[in-house]
Amino acid sequence: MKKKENESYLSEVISKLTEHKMAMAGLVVILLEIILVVVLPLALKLNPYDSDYTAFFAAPSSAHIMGTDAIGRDVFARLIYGGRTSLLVGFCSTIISCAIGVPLGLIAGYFRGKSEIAIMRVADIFMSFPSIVLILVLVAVIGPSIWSVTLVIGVLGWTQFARLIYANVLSVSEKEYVESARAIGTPNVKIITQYILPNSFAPILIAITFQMASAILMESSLSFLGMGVQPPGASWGNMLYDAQSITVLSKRLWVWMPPGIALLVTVLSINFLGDGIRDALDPKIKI
Amino acid sequence: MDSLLKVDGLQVQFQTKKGVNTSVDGVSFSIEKGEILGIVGESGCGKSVTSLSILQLLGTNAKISWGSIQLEGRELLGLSEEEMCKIRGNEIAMIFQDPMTALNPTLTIGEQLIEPLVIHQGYSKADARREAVEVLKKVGIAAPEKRMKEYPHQLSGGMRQRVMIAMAVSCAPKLLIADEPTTALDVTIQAQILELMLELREKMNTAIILITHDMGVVAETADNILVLYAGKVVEYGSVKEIFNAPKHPYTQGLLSSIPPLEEDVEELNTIDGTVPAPGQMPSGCRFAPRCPNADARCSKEQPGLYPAGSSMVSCFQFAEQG
Repeated sequence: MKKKENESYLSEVISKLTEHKMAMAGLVVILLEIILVVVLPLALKLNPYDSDYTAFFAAPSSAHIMGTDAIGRDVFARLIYGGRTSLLVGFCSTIISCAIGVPLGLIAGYFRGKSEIAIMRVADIFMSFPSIVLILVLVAVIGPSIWSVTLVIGVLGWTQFARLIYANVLSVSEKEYVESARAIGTPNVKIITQYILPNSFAPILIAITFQMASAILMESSLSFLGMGVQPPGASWGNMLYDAQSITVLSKRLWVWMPPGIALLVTVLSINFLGDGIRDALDPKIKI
Repeated sequence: MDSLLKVDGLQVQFQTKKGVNTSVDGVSFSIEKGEILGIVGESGCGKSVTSLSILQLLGTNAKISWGSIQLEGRELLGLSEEEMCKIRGNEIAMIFQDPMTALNPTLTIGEQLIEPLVIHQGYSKADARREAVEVLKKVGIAAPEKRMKEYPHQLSGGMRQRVMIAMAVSCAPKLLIADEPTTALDVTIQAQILELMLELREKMNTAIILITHDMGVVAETADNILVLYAGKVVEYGSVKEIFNAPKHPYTQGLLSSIPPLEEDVEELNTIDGTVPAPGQMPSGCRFAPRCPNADARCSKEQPGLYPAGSSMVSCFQFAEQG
């Protein structure tokens, strides 16, 4: 019963979103990638870790369709496993950022006063550090691994969510329906969860997409610098590590082009999807 | 016996960057069961602040600095937030000005209507739903079962205001505060909504504070009128007395600015000037700079409230007579 009525708004948003060509293209690419990185390792016998001692830096061939890297590992297999890593880090760290940032932003924006000062000033301090340096130091302290990278990116990403939600809550709290909810004696917890949060849903959704894209980039940067996912584990970032050599960069395109393109396409797709969601949720924009 | 609501010497101050502004100063009035009190005045004279003070819903920068608000003899000022939550919506309810923005767009009408019933009356969701349908019928909404499942954007303005009223009266509050309930509606709907409020008053013996700047609305519905000017009471009396024989120059000005129906007038009567900005209040009578009858005393001393006829008037003209 509730579902049926919800459809009117949701279906409008969805139909707007489906008409947004770039967003749809982005969505298709991301879904395709998810399916590929989940299904291919199960379906094919991919081996991203072991070296083929007969072929170092081998060009693409029937044995290795994308060639091999410096120590003879299959580039295609590493690309797929690297995709798993990148998408996993992207999802998980965004969930962490969201889980920390959204409640803090809600509290700061709704209760104002001391909590506002405490939370938002801490956010300002966090944001005034150069994040890449901070992340490098933290990862170095904890020890580089896929989980430490996820955790550090996730925890440091909370400020994006907190600031966005905070700003939105400030405007939503001024709405008459919040005042009228208070006038019928609705407790604060209920006002936050049923009035403020649902009406802040759009910015949260948009922030999730952009945060995910930037988390994937951050993970790749860290791995590229050798502070992220450690070999033999695969990540698009540490695959690009090989391209630090000029000969590889200029002569062995198959080593670094696939992860580079995969990264570019993924981040672009997520950003397009984010743009599309923003436009679809914004009643002022008619597509 | 105690009055239903007794407000005594209410003073509300706003903390601003430029200092403290007193937006409501020494407002006193009382309401009996089933009475309708109209609070009138220009924008910014403290009507809404007065009503929000009763529910203690003022923003964080506002403070009730003086006075007392008693509901059936029980002092409301100084109650904890938790205790106020039990009073809001249950004993005192409020209807807001703009029904277009006063309903949560993400919840169905039903979900919003059952809220006060669940919170205050301890109803189960199913019982509350049944009760909410009854209340919707009471406020004259056709096909209430269907409306319960709809979202606010699917209803017209008049219907939303009915839903707002339904929400406010669902717990049978003793006092209903209506903050310009008809301002955002067109004239035919306005009449229906006022009719509805009068009807509810008959049925449930609810007292109503009607805040408005529409003198016509007050004349039709209210029993008593409280005229505010720049945060102070200028005249307080029965509708009959005030409409037949307005005493304060400000009330006279308000009434004479209503266009007469019988004849054509070239130009409407207006009161010259505007309400003084907070922080720039004249030291004497606050209306003195705009008052046609002001003399030297008016700009030096603040008048008290003096009885005149059956009303109370804050003007030196009536100081001696009392």
